[in-house]
Amino acid sequence: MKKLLRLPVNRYVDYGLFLVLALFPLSGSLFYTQLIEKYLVFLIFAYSLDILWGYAGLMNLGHAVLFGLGGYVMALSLSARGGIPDFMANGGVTQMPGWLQVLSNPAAAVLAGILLPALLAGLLGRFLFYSRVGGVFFAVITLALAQVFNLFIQSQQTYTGGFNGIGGLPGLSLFGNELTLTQGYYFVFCVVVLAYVFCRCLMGSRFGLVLRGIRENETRLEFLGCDQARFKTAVFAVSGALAGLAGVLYAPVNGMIAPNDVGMEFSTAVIVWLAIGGRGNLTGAAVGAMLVNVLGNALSENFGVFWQLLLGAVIVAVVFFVPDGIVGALIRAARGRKAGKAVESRG
Amino acid sequence: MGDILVTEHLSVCFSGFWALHDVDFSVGEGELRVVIGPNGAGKTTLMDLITGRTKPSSGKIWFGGHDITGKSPHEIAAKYGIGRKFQGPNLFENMTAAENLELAAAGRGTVAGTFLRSAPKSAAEEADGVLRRIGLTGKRGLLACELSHGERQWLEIGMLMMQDPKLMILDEPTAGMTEEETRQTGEMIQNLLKGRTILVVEHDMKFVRQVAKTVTVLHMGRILAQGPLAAIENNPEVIRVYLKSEDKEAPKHAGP
Repeated sequence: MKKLLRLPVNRYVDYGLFLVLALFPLSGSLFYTQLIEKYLVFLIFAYSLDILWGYAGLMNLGHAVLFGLGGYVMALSLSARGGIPDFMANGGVTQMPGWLQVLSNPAAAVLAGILLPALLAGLLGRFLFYSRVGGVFFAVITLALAQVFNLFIQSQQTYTGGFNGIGGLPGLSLFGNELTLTQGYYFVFCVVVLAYVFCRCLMGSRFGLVLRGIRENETRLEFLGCDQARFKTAVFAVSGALAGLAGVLYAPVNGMIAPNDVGMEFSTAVIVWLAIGGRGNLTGAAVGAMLVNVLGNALSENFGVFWQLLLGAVIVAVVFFVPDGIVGALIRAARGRKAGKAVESRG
Repeated sequence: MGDILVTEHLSVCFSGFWALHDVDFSVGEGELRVVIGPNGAGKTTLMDLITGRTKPSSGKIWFGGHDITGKSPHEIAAKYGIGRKFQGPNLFENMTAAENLELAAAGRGTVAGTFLRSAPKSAAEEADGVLRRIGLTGKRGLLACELSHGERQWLEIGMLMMQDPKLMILDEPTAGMTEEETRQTGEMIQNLLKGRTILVVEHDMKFVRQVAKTVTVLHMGRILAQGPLAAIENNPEVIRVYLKSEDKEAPKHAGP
């Protein structure tokens, strides 16, 4: 009990949020349960960027590429369950390609959907970080990558469904049994909690400490004997794997995937979630992802075409008034009060 | 004892300006050497070369019998064991004092080695011991940016203790300190010497007199003089370019 009381303030927010999310299906609204299930997937995606940007300070403007890679791998796998998918048949493919046959195995698809993004991120890291590309240059290169990937997906219509994406996908299933909406929701919820625990442990380890050191003062760390490029590459790969996992879940949960989900637009969206929620504590990523999406949905229902304008105003206000995000401001306030108490007791 | 650090004909040229010119410099194992000289003499450049921050234009650097010329900073720090405190505070500002110390020892090994939840017990105890030695036990939870200037300088020295290098390079460790803090720092450095070699760059002559036995004077990228403190203080050449202005507390710039 005492241990619980000593927790940093943002951990209460984490647990509170998980409690609300765990109870949400009891509300009985299938429509909103399905919507929140999609946002749960976004939480994993937000965590994956937080360990990269929030902890290590590496702003990836093309993070949706990693998400999309996992998503497309899973979507291809799902669409190939009943033979050659329509978009391929329309493109003149008459025989199932060998790689798609492999992917049509669900386990292989999940594995590929996680490992391919990790590999892509690791390779990028190998080339960028070891050649000392950092800061703004890293951001710009990843931005270009997002655009290239988006164009690639659109141009390979025969294999990716092109501009229309891949739709009509079956929902989540586990060991061959299709899950009901509520079952699917709790399955995704469990994966989110696992991802959260994984990130907490990793960032609480000395690895996380080194990442924060890289963010704070990379040069100093190097003179303390740290090969920062190796750590950056490692965290990029881990972040890629998590983003890929989010994509793998997204395809069946959303029922379709399209180029919009992999390009600049979605990459910017996740940046905005973290900017609003706060970075480098995991809580901010979750709060930001939930808040922006729920708010966006509510605004679009009530204000029609103006919703994006209103959401934009909220975003600008948050970034302007609380630059370290909602949770960042919360932690700062709590810390200020604690420090104040310490001074009082000393004086 | 033999020389642990040797430079041979070390030169570095920044777009036409020879910051260091043909410097043959050596430090004996277990020695505490102080490098002095007017601003722009090349003191910090020499430290940059030794720690791999700058690559030399020509010449060689030997450390403990290994050629470390042009190696990367992390390799020089981790593999060969050279630690450095920079001129001016250079900390992890938004991390606590204890975290700064832990970090000083955390990043050296492999990535996989850091996945463990926390540092080995001995490292945590070591951090506690270091906090005591630098007098910051009560402030372990404060962020580096919340510490006073003198405490920040000590925290840097503490990070070097955690790193536990064979050669410690201290670039102006007492800059901006009060007289009392400077004296305490001098004691701290003399305690550090056990089993180590220390290279100090300093301006404060009072401090130099407190800690130094052998002094090297750099001037305009060359070694002007080297020897016991007493001899240096009476060297007319050194007095002319450096000490004269120092003792008058006049602005510290080069030459007449």
